[in-house]
Amino acid sequence: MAEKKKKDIRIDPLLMVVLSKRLDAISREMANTLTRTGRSGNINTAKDFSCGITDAQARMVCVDEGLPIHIVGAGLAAKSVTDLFDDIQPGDCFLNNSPYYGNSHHADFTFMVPVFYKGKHVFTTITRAHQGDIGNHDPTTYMPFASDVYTEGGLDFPCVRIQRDYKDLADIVRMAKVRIRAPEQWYGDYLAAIGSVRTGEKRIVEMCDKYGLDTVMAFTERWQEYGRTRMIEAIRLLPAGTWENETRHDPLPFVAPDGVPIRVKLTINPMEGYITLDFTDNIDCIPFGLNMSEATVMASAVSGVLNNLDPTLPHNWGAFSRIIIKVREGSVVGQARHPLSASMATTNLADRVINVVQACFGKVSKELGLAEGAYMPAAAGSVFGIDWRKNNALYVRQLMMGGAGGPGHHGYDGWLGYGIPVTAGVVHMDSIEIDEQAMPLLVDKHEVIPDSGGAGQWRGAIGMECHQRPRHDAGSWGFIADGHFNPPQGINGGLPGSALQLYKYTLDKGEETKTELPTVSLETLQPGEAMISMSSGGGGFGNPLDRDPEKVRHDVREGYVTLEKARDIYGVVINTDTELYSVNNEATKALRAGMKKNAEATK
Amino acid sequence: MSYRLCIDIGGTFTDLVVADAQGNVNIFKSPTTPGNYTDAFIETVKMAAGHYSLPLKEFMGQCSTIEGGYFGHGSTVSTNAIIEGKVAKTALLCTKGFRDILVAREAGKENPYDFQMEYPEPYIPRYLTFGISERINAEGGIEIALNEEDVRQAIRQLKEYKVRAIAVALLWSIANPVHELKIAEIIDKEWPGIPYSLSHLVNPCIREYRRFSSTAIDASLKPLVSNYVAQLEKRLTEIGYKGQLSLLTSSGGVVSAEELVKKPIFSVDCGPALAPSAGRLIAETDLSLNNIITTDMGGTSFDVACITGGEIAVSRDTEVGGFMLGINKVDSKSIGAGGGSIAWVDSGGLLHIGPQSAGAVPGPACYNKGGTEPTVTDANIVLGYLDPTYFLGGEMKLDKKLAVKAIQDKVAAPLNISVEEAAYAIWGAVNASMSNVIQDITVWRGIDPREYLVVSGGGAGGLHMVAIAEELGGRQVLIPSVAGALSAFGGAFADVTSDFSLSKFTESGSFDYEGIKAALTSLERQAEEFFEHMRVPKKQQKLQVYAEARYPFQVWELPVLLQGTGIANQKQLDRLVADFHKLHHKVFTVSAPDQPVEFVYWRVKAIGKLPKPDFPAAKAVPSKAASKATRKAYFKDLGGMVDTPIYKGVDLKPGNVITAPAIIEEPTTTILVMPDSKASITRYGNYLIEIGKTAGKSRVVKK
Repeated sequence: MAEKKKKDIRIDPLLMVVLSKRLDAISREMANTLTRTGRSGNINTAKDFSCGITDAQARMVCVDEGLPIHIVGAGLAAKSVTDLFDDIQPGDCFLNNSPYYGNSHHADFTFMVPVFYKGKHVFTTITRAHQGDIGNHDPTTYMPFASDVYTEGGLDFPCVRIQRDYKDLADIVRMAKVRIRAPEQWYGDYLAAIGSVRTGEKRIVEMCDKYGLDTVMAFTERWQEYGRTRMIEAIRLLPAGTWENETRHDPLPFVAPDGVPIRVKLTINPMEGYITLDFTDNIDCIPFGLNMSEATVMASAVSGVLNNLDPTLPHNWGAFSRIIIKVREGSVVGQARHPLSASMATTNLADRVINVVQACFGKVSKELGLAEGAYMPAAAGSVFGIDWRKNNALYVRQLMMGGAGGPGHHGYDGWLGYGIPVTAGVVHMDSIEIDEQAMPLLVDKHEVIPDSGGAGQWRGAIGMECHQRPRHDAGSWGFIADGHFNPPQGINGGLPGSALQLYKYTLDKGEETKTELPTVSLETLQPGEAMISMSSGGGGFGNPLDRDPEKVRHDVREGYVTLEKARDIYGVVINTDTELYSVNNEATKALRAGMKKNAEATK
Repeated sequence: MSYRLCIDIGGTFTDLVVADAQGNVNIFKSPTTPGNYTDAFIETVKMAAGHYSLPLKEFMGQCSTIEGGYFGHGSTVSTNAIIEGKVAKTALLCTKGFRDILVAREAGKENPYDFQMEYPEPYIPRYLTFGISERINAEGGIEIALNEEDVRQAIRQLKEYKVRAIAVALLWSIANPVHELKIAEIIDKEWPGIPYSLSHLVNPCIREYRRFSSTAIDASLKPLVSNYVAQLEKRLTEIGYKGQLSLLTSSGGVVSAEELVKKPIFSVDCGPALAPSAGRLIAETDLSLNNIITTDMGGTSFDVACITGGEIAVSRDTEVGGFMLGINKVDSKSIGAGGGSIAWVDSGGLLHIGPQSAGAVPGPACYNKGGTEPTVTDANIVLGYLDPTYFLGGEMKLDKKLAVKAIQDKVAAPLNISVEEAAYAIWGAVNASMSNVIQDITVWRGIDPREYLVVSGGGAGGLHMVAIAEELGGRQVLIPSVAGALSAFGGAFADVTSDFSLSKFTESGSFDYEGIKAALTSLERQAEEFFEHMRVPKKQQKLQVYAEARYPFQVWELPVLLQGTGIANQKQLDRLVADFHKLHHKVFTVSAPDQPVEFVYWRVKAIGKLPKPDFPAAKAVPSKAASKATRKAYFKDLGGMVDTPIYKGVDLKPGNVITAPAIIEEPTTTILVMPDSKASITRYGNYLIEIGKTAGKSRVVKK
């Protein structure tokens, strides 16, 4: 009966616009509150968080423009609240960081407030943020070597109530403070997250006051229908068929000496408006922290699809429901089963999943698909130590530097400072001055690496080189990089981006004495020692010999591509006798014709 | 007789406001002449001289400062140069190893799934960016001494490239400027006369990208702004102006030409920055109110700013043309919503307004200049809000049939609704976008817009702002008689202001009384020099001191106003700390009173208060002559198209009260008096719209 009544309420076109903008504004306000008040660099600078709203059935209604890896799967965490509790009430707030209960991974704390209106649970506001520390065995939020939750050593909150009647449950907060390094920083982040979800709650109640609950609920249904329609329309534009693709994560010590292959089978059904991603043909979970959680498989698989579609598609459950994801229980791309570790479920394999899906579209059509984006750089590691300037206070943070290169795709070069596929350029880079004020470290260099972008008609973005070192006391640097053995691949004739490199050297002996470091490791740097991170460039799209010579000239003049590579890879001859350089058109034409002929001959 | 006048050169129009000694105000407008701004300038002054029946020379003489007059001026010249990439060829000298600070920016892309975007070029090309071997650390200690030969070598190369300006920005120059100063010395010696900017002077803030960006923009504007000012002063002298020129700044005040040429970045966006000053003056004069939201809706954009307790909100988080300004600037938020914004329906049946705009050419469909896309103006025609025969006072004829066709084809048909309903949806949707912007800059900062007066400027504002204010729960909207030239009016009566700031870190637990005293003393000395230079009499001088504070580990600060001009003892410190906790709670709904507070920047705002002008107030003598006729206009609450009385604004007199529904037509604006509101003419000739008891309740959902 109630259902029928809801449908009777007409949501006219204007009300659709007004309420959708209103909800969008609420999620943006939630995000603003978190950024401005958060304490750790992940939140206040990098913006490694997302805010969103689901309905009482945990269906995503809207999200702010947060991280791709957070967005799609956030509904699963909201579902854990209603699945596990039968006594939820106004004033409650829940914390879930458990990959076994619908969360992404342990480092993301997800705070959820069930929003009540006239005694009824109508929406849930969600704020998910990567914490500065979570009390892991090692001072890092990423535990690659952990085989299970016990070796990770951090706290698992399998969806627990943390506020009742709008007040902290002091015992839970106390638990966290005892087990988390830099507890004041954490508590500051906690307050920021509470501010964010409570702001969302307040605004939703105001919205229901103003428009009436029935109208708001009827709108929500229409909004999901709208998302569904838009997604179906987008899928209808694609050709029908099934395609397969594979990529491979770098070798992992002991557990995967040949690396981890990641495979997908993509089926597009434009008639019915569905896309299916089949991940069942993947290896079993490994005793290592890289296994994926259900939430991160969903989020990364869907991201790979969305990257290929109209960017204005709404990000709601209705739209996402047209993408079907098949996984095999117990697979690395499935759902990590307790107690296997999913400490790093949001990055390494998730990055590979986004790439394998987005690049698979290159097989669908010559004008579709994105090359592989670059993988986790070493400059974005976790650092830990003491600060002699602040009475030896502890510092523990994830740095956000060394931005790796985005993928080339049809019509556009890759995005510089893209970071990794799961962050897709959304995460902000640290201010070096802010970091040097907050922590006793020094950055000696942060510049782009020439020729690192995968060549192509549309070039992958270039990677960056970053030198970091501790001051005064030793510090520990944790790395979990990828792309050294398997750099980002190009598609449709594009070349791969540069391989990731990681080195260490002693200042007084000079940079030329640098030695390679394992890309997955925890290193102690002494004062006077520095690390060098060389991130990958993104993969290229299309044949480099088809790149507009003017773009090549610009790349050479700006130092993104060297003269030699311009000639040898792009077949473009550049004259350097004028300030802005110029393309030698005739020589270029002849060179390119010869190179194409050679390529034909060797085929 | 002496006149105060101000010319604001905007993107489309050049506005001149003239106030005579009695406070009577006149507005003159002419189209801006891109490429030669001074022509429009002189043209508009000639119009004014003609109006007062004075020879140009005599009129200019009476505007001169030495005759007791005043000449204010703001121009879009630097804003346009940045947006169009027509600034001087500029090089950057930076710390070696950090050539990509302007390239990499702070990262952060908007839509995570959108890869159909070109990565923006850096403000200064990489090949004109030179790394200089040197390094200073966070405490100001020298890690690597300056390599002076690097500097000389770079300068030799720059001479060859014939750059016109140099930006010098080094890491941690805010903690120790010694290397930047040394580089300045070398430039002066090696290349005397080349303009340059030093980052620790342009914008002494932590966060290298923002400081580097401010410095690059500042240097790149130096040749342009000094030429512009020199040319202008020459032309002004030729036509008989004697004395000082006051130039508008992005912080909403005026400074002398000499000051602005030193820091030209403060000329960016000065026009929009003066609209809130105008709104404040008008609201204080007419209604004695000082909590105000000022809005400006024109053809392509909607700007909004906020004033609390008479203080205009400023922000350091501002961009122009996608480039970070990084300086303290009036916090004016802008979106692409105006009369020309295009309405369209997507494949899922959702209506969107903009961001595309029909601009002036081809313009809205009703302009009959080839535009076929339905715009907000077309919707206003269909709804009967605008009279197609009386647009711009009748100077331009609009074609209603074309407006109907565009809306029918592109909006009504796909949504399967009537053309009036479609037009109403367009009108309502653009209102929703604008009310969201207002919420962003009020609610997000802990301000309740219901307690604020809305002052509405711009030609298109009168048709939308009353509904928007009502949507926000506001009760009053003031539409000034000078709504069409709000910025110029603000510039004619602006205070002389300048900000002085420096980074000096300390925290409440171990407060550095001596260090902060020294810092504030140096800022005050700069403020005093400024007052002296600007010849501000002692009794008009006012200093406001702000501490920019945060909790440990936070990186975004809140500005806390000091009760006095310094922190000399525990009691004053406690007060400041308590004020911070209170402010944090107000803005973000949480605070942590048991935690220490960090202080990062100190800022002194120097204000030379202009004595409050005496505007003439009229006695209320309502006129009966203003009623024109009736026209069908759309009011959803009244069931659709209803006969609506139309009033001629120029014939209305103070004391006239217009009941709803009604439409008031002025030559440059039209005011919609919505049901549940009434309009009255104030003693100063402004329109005050009061919204009835049902304010805050939405009309949209009513059946």
